[in-house]
Amino acid sequence: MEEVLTQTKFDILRTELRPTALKISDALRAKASEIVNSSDFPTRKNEAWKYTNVNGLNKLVFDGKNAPISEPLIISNRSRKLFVKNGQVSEGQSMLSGIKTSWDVLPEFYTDDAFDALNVLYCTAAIQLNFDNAENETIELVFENTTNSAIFPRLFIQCNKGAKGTVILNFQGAEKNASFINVSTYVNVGENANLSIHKIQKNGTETFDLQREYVDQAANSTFTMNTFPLSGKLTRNDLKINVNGNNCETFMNGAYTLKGKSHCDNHTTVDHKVAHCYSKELYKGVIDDRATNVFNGKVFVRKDAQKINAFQSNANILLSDTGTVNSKPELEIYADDVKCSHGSTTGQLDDEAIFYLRSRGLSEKAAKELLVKAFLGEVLEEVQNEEVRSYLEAQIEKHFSA
Amino acid sequence: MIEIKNLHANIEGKEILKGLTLTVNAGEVHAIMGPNGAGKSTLASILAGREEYEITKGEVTFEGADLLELSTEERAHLGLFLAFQYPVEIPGVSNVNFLRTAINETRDAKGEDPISAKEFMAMVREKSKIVELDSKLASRSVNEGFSGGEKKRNEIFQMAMLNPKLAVLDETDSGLDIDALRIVAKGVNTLKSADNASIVITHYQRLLDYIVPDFVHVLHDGKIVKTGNKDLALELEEKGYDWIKEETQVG
Repeated sequence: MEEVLTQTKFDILRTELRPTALKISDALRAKASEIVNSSDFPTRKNEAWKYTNVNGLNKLVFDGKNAPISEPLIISNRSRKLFVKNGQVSEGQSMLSGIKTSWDVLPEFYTDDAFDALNVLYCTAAIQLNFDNAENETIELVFENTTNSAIFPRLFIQCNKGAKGTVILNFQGAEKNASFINVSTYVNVGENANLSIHKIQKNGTETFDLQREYVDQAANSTFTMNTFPLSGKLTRNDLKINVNGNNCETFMNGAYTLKGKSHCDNHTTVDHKVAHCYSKELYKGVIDDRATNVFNGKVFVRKDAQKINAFQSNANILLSDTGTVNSKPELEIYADDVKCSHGSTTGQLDDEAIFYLRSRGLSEKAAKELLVKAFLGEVLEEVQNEEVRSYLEAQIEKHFSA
Repeated sequence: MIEIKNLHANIEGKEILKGLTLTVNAGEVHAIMGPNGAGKSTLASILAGREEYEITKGEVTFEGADLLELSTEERAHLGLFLAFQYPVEIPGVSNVNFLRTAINETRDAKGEDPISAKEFMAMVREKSKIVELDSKLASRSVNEGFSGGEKKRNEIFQMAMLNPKLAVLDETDSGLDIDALRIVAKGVNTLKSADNASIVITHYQRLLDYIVPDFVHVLHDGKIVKTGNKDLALELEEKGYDWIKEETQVG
C-alpha cells in the first residue's frame, strides 16, 4: 500500500526558512526535528490558541525587500547595546562584555513547544546576557527589522546570585514590514538576584511576532517582566514563570495599544511551587478599529505553597464597536492558606467623563486621549526604568496623533 | 449675553421644556427655581450641549452665536461654563493637568499662545485660594475621593481658572453643608463682574442668601411662569411651590 504523505503547514513554512548556521548538537537537532515533524499549526481546538490563528504565516514572503525605519531606534542612552539587524547580530559587536554572541554549540535548552523547536532549527542569532554584580547595568538589544525576513533569535539571560540587571528587548520594524519574528528567551534569576526585562514590540503592520519566555526564579529573587505590544499584524507572547524558591517577588505588567486589524495575544503563567511568595500582574490595553485582543493569565499555587499572595488584573477599553477582547484569568490553587485575586474588565470610555472634559473646552479627541493616558498610566507607573517609561509615554501620545 | 427664545426640548420622546424664554445680560445674576421635574437641570444640560436632548423648537443666541449649532467644547471656548450638579470623578487625570489642557485648548481656539507653566501655576495658587481649596487637591486626580463639598468647590475653582462669560450653576448647593455653601457662594461672588453673568439653578432659597440674584424666575412644567426680584425666592421658601402651580393652572 502506498503511504499518503500530507504536507503540514509547518512543512510549507519550512520551505521558506533557511536552516540555522549555528552548530546544534545531534541530540538537540533530533529532538527539535521530531517535535516540528509531528506538529502542525495550532487550531481553534487547541485551548491555548483558541482565539489566535497563525495560518497567515504561510502567506509571508521573505523577499528581503528593504524599507528604512524613520523613527529613532534606540530607547536607552544609558545602556550597553547590541544591534540585531533583520535577525543577524551586527558585525563587530560580539566582543561586548557580559554579552555572548558566538557559540561552539547552541546551549541545550528546549521545550516541547513546536515554535520553540522551530526556533532551534532555524535560529538566526543566539545571544546570552550575563549579570554578575549588583550595579544594575542596563543592556538593550535593538532588533532592527527593515527587510521582510525570518527573525529567529534565541536568548539566554542569566542574572547570577545577588546580581541586579535590566534588559530592554527593543523590537523595531519598518512601518509596513512583513516579517516572521519567532523568539525563545530562557531566563534564570539566581538567589537574591533582581532582574527586570522590558519588552517593546513595535513591529511593522504586517509582521507576525511569536515569543516565549521561560523563566526560573530561585529563592529571595525579584523578577519583573514588562511587555508592551505596540504594533504588528499578530503578536503572541507566552510568558511562563516558575517560582522555585521561597520569598520571591514576581511582577508582570503589560500595556497594549491596538488598531487597524492587529491581533494581540498575551498568555502568562506564574507557577508558585513553594511558599512565601508574592506575584502581581497588571495588563491593560486599548483596542480600536477591528483589532482583537486576547489575554489569558494563569496562576498556579501548588499544594505546599502556603502564604502566597498572588494578584492578577486585566482591563481593556474598546474604542470602537468593532474591536474584540477575549480575556480569561485563571487561578488554580491547591494550597489552603493563600491570598489570591483575579479580575478582568472590558468596557468603553466613560461618556460622562468625556462630556465633563468637553464642557471645560477639551475636544472630544483630547478628552479621549487624556482618559486613555490615565488608563494606561497605571501600568506605566510600574515601569521603574525612566527611559523606557518616557519612550512609552511618547508612543502612546503618537498612537493618538496618527 | 444669552437669549433663549421659546425653547422646546424632548428626551426619549417626553417633552420637558415647553417654550422657555429667558434673557440674561452682562453683569446680571439670574436664579432659576422650581419644583422637582420642572426642567431646571434639563435647561442646564441643553445649554452645555448634552446630546441626549432633542430640541424641537426655539433658539438660543450666546455672544451673537447660534448656541445650539455649537459643540460642547465650542460653547466652552466662547465662554460658557457649567458647574455640574454631580461632578464626575476621573481617576488618573490630575486636576491641574486637565485644567492646563482645557485652558490651552480654549486659547488655541482663539488663536492665542499656550499659557506658560509659570503663569499657570501662579494662577492655580491664586484661584485655589478663592474657594479655600487645598493646593494638594488641585494636583490630585479630578474629583477622585473628594467629599461632596470638595467637589463643588472644585467646580468653582475650575470656573475661576477658566474665567467664563456665563456660568450656569446647576444645583451647586445640593448636598452642601453650611460652611461649604458659604465658601462656594463667596467664590461665585468674588468672580462676579460687569462683564460676566451667572444663571444659578436651585431648588431651595438657601443659596440665594449668599448669592444675591438680580432676578428670580420660577420654572414650572417646562416654562418660566413667574419672574421677580430676590423677594420672590423668600416668598417661595415660605409658601412652597404649590401656589405657583395653582396660579398657573388658573391662569
